[in-house]
Parts: sequence; C-alpha cells; structure tokens
Amino acid sequence: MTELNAIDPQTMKEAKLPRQDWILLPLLSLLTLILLAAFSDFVAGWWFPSSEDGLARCFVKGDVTGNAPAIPNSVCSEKNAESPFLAEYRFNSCGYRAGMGCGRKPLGSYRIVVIGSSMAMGLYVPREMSFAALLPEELSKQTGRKIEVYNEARGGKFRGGQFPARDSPEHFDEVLAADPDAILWIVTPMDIENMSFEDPGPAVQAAVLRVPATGAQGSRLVVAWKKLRVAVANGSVLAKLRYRWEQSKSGLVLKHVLYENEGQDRYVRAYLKNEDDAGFLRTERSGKWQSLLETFQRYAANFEGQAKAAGVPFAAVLVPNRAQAAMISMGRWPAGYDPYRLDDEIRAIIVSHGGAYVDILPDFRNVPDPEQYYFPVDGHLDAGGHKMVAALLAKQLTGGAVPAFRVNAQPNVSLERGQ
Amino acid sequence: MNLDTASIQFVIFGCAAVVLSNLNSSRGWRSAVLFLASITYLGLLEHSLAAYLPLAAFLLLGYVGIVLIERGWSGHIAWSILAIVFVYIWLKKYTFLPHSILLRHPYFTLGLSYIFFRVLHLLIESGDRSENEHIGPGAYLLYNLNFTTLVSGPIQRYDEFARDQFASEPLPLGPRVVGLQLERIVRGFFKVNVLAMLLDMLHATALEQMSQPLPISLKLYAAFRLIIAYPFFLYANFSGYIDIVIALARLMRVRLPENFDRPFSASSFLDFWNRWHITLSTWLKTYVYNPLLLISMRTTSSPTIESYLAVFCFFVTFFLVGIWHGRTSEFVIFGMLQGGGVAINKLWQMALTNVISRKGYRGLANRPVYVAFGRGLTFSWFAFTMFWFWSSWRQIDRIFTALSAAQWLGVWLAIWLCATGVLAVWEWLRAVLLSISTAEGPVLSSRYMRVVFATALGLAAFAMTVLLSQPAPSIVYKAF
Repeated sequence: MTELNAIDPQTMKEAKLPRQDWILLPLLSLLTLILLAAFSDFVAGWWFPSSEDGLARCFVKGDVTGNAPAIPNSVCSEKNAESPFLAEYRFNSCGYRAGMGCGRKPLGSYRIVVIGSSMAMGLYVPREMSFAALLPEELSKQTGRKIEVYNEARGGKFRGGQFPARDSPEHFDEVLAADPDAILWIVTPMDIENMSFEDPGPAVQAAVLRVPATGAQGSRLVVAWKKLRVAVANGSVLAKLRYRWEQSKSGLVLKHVLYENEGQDRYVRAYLKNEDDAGFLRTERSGKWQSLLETFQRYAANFEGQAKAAGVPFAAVLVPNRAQAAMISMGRWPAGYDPYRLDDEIRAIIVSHGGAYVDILPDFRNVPDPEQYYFPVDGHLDAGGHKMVAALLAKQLTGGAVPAFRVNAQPNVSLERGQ
Repeated sequence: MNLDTASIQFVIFGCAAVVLSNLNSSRGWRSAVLFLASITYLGLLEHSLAAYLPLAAFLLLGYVGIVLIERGWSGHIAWSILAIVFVYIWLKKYTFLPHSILLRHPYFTLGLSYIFFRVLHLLIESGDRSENEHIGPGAYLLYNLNFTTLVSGPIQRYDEFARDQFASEPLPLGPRVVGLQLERIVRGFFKVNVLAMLLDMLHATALEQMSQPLPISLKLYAAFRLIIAYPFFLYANFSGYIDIVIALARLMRVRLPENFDRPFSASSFLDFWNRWHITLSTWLKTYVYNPLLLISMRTTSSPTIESYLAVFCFFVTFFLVGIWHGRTSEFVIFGMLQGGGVAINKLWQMALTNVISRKGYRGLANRPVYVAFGRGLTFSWFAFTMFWFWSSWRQIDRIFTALSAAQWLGVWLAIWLCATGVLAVWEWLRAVLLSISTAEGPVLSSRYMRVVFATALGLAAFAMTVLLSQPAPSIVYKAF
C-alpha cells in the first residue's frame, strides 16, 4: 500500500518536459498495453486451455442460421476452457448424441425421448456424465423397470441450433419416430430468450438492414471519420470493445475467477443489475417477455398436440439458470424479482395443453450453493450439475409428477401410452 | 448518474470541470466554474429542490452564526456551536433521538458530516478573524459545497482553500503536475474499482462462510480473512476516492490536504491515527484535544496528573472520532475501542519511559523488531475494532459465536504475527526498491515508471469495469 505520490507535486520543479519524452512516454504506455495484453492472454490460455471449435466439425459448415443438424455418424471432441474434460461428441446415424443407435427401442424397455437444447445435450461434459446418461440408471433403480433415455437434444446456438428452432414442429416426427414411451422437454430460460431470434419483428428487420451509407466519396480518412462518428453515435465502439474483451481468453479467465469466488449474495445482486439477462426473473413481465412466452406457448401447443395425437405422454421441466438457482437456494431476493415466476408460467402453459410439468425448482432450496454446479461464465451445467439435475429429476418423476414413473406404479406401458 | 462514487461518470464530470476551469486563470472565472460545477453536481445527485431545504437551512444557520460572531457577538460562539451540533445530530437522525422529533420527508444529507466540520471550523475561527478577512456568502458556499470535497472530504481548512482558490496568481499547472495528477486519478480509480472490489468480495465470502457448517479449520481461515480483508478494503475504497478528488482539485489549481500517509506502516496506534483519515484526526486534535487538554491542565498543578490528563484527552478525542462514524450503538463501541487503543498506547509509552527512561524508550522504539511487532499489533487491533464499524449487533453475535473465545484469540494472534512478518517484508521491499535511483531520484518514482504503472493499473481497471459492467462500488465514507 505505497503512496508514490507522497512527494507534493508543488514542491517539484515545474521544469519543461524533455522534448523526447513527449514521444517516449506515449510509446512506453502503448508498449505496456501491448505487452500486458499479450502476456495476460498467454497466461490465461496456459491456465485454462481449450479447443474452441472442435464441436463445430460435427456440423454442416457455412450454416448462418445456426440450426444445422449434426453430421450423421460424426465424432468430434472439444474442451471448453471452464471444463476439466475433453468432451467427446459421438452422433448416431440420425445425428443425435443419443448414446445409442438410431431406431426403435429394445423390447421390454421404456424409452424417454429427451428434447431440448445444449443444456440437455450435455454441452462440454462427457456423455456418460450428462443427466441424460445418468437418469435411466436412477429411474431404473427406483422404479424397477428397464428405462432408457434417448437424447434428441441439439446444441445451443451455433452448436447445432437452438431449440425449439423455427422448423422444430415440422421435425417433431423425428421425435415420434424414436418410438418414445414418454417425451421430456428440457427447458432453460435461455431457450425461451433465444426464441426472440425466431420471428424478428419488422422494426428489428429494418434495423438490421439499415446499414449506414458511407459512400465512396471523399478520401479514406473522411470515410474512416464518418464510420467512427456513426460508431460513436450509436455506441457500437464501446460495445465492440466489450465484445472483443469478453471473447478474449484473459477476459474469460478473469470473469471465471471472479464469479467462482464471489459470494452468492453478491453474485445475485450483480446479475440482477443486468436488466437484459435478468428480465425473466422480474415479477412484472416486459413486452419482450410477454411476446417470448406467447411464442413458447405456440411451440408447446404444437409439440403437445402432436404427442397427444400419437398417444405419447409429454412432460416438461425447467432447469434454472445459475443466478436463478442461487436465488432459490438463498431463499431471498430483492423486491420486483421472483425466481419461481417463469416456473409458474411454464407450468401453466404445459398443463393447459394436457402435458405434465416436472417441477424441480423448489428442490434447489435444499442445495447449498447450487451455482457451483454451473460453468461460471458459460452458464451450462458442469458434471456435478448434471448429476444434481439427474437426481432431482428422478426424485420428481418417481414422486408422481409423471404417473408412468411413480414408484410402485405397475409397469403397464401400453396402457399408459394409450391414455 | 452514479456521481457520488469513483465512477467513470464522476471522473469525466471532474475532468470537464477541470478543462473549463483552466480556460481562464482569473480567480473570478475559476470560482464561477467551481460554483457552477458544484451546483450542477448537487443537481445531478438529487433532483428534488425540497430535498435540499434542510441542508440549505443548516448552511444558513452556520453562516448567520459566523456573521454574528464577526460582528462582535463572540460571546455567542458556544451557543452557535451547540446549535450547529444539535441540528447536525437531528438531521443525521441519530438513533438516540426520539423518533417523533425527526423530519419525515426524505432529504439530502450526503456530505453533511464534512460540511459540519467545515462550518464548525469557520465558526470557531471567526472570532479570531480580522475585519478584512470577512467571508462572503459566495466564498462560504464555494468552500462548503465544493464538489471535490463534498462527498467524503478531505476536510480542508478555509484559509488553505482561500489561499489557492482566490489567489490572483493560481498554482502552476505544467506537464509534470498534469501527468502526476492523471496518474493519481488512474491509481485512485484502480483502488476503488478493482482493489476494493476484490477485497470486498474476499470479505463477503469469508462472512458467508462464518455462518456455514464448515470444518473448524475452514472456519478459522474464514475468520482470518474476515478480519484482515476489511481494513485493506476500506483503505483502498476511501483513499482511492480521495486520490481522485485531490488530483481533480489540483488540476483546478487547489491543493487539498492529504488524508492518508501509508497507515499500515504505523508502528503504534497513536502513529496510525496520524496517518489514517488525517484531516479528521487533525480537526479533532485541533478543536477537541488541544482545548480539552488546556482546560484540564488549568485545573491541576500536579505533573503526574497532567500526564494522565493527556491520556484522558486522547481517549475523549478518539472516542469522538469513533462515534462520528455512525448513528448507532455499534459506533459507541467502535469509538471506545479507538479511544481505548490510543489511551493504552499512551499509557504504555509512559510506563516504558518511567521504567527504562526516555532515552531508553527512544532507543527501543527505533529497533526494527520492536517496530515490526508494533506495526503488526497496530494493524491487528485496528482490524479487530472494524467489526463494530461494518457490522450490526446481530452480525457480530453470529460471527463471534461461530468460534470459541480461545479460537478467536488464536486467530487474532495469528493475524498479529502474520501482519508483523508481511508488513516488515513490505517495508523492506519498498525501501530496497526506492533505493535504486539515478541522479533524478528513485527509479520507482520516475516518470517512466509512473507511466508504465499507470498504464497497467488503467488497463486493469478498464478491463474490470467493462467486463463486469456494474456501477462503481459505493464509497464507504460517504455514508458518514
């Protein structure tokens, strides 16, 4: 804790700065910046190694929508900087990380087909550690049946497409083709938020298309100045800087260390300050969130309608995000926020169309520091998180949330399917 | 706007005022800019005019008192002081006041404590002021509402303020001074937004762990971190803000007094208060300790009692330092621990002087081992007293019942020993680094090193604030 400026500037001679210093000092500052940035990125890369684009190799290249299916029978692996594992992604002949071949289920087994996005697919964790792999064992143990989970979940945005994507209802026949005895939809707040990409309104489309016309007139300097002026005016300079920084390895590592070490209370307070991310936790629904929930309702109605027509029980579960899980575990939150609000809304939507809702959120009250089971920056569940969700799901499923799994229920699959 | 903290908005606001102020060096222009900036600053902090009425009334009361005393009503100084003290306590809603007499509507009290010290200082000094030293209402408002000292001080004397602000030849502002002040702004910004933020995080995590069912070894470690993190946090938070305002004021050609002088280097608690929140302790020494000691000494002629009177006066002064910090009973204990610490320190010095003579004591006090252990003890005592500074009785109860008395003693001893070792190494390292010098002075404080240092801190602060995209942390001392 030194105070280098203990020397009173007033007592210093106000001599002129040597001429060379006017060049030397800014150069020294620039050199410091470059060296520090390079060094911190090097250290961050060494400390948190990753192979960023491994999974992308299993997907069709050049798809700008991010909804490309996985290449059938492809195998790739990827290590996220926050994960200790090099996760292998092995897609079957139908392009799913199902952990089993594509086709009908073995005789005598009860098959749950899981649909969802990257969280359900088990992004960044080995398949055998994902809840889709752990759940059948738990359920089989508790119900005494041979239960298997066929995972049709796709990766998140740019990892094989968000779910639901615009064409998901048309492709729901793929879910039914997997011969399900029940369908379990894993929903996350981010999945609902991603639905805003589904149907951009005219205003958004216009904004995207509105590229400032710089023209070819004038010198490059004038064009550059115009570009800079536009960028400063619409705030994109800072946004770009921030984006670059957040994408850098040192940014990720710094954020990871901070999030991992800050207390639950502080983390939640900080998270809620970001209105964009915390919108789903507000008690009052913004216009954006009302519209997102309407979109969700449309998809839910479609999926549940198709499942009902095929006579397959349909259930949905909301897996909370990191901050939401922390709030529930703490048992307190600021006025104007409610971590159960989205849970209630999704339940109402799912139940209104005849589906079952598996409510695992209240069980997070009994999990101390559940946020430690998520990758702090990325936000996906880590291996511990998948194990936790598998246990909570098994508890709720066998506790009566879905009649087919109720412990002591008779394994009369055909009857249940007919209902 | 988040202007009452060391935010980027505050720095930009301050820099805009600096640029405007330097467009013309005349004192009229500089005063007009400072006044305009201060009024704008207040306006941005609170939009309701009604909320300012109590503060305006307080300032008016102070000014009326000063004018009356200047006009020869010097017999009323004591009444004026009492009135100001009472109104201050009433406006700050001290918890011992009956609730029924307090104002109900919300009003602006930010910086009131610092205004209180400035107004009292003017009142006390106004009796000694000559006729041509009369303080006009403009100068009075400028001195009290100066945006650089409004929120958390430092508490500047009026004569020092007037000397720089109203000088016909303003303080010089060459590239070296500008460079030094810019570096200081960056350093202050880093202290508040990075260092204090990380230390606060460390403190909060340790506090959480104290109430969790953890193995005893982890609890002891949490208690250790809980105690050591807060003094460093408070130092970074407060001194960082002070760095920024001192630099901004200097760029507006006013020298503000220093508020910190490497406080954790102090080898005794008495020395500590010469280095921590210097302007507050100096104010109280000037207006409480000195008069109290003078009055007490007049009542006795015994030299033995006289020396104990000094101990008593120290206790009263630093007890007041403690209770000034807050309105609740926790701060009474905090005050007693500050006053007690200083008084025991003085008694220890007196006892040693009696036993080994004054010369012997001086020799002992200069021995590196004695200094190192004294430094460790000073830090650990101050850190321990901080419990009554940042927590409520409920929290204190929860924290203290988490460990047994023997375990707390063990933690405190460990902190003393660790602080002794770490601070000694730090002092040694600093001395070694500063000893590397050229003809122009130590390399560490050369302009080249300062540029490297400021760039690194600036980059870290920028990265952190952009990455976290959170409002700047609040300044603890603005609450007082």
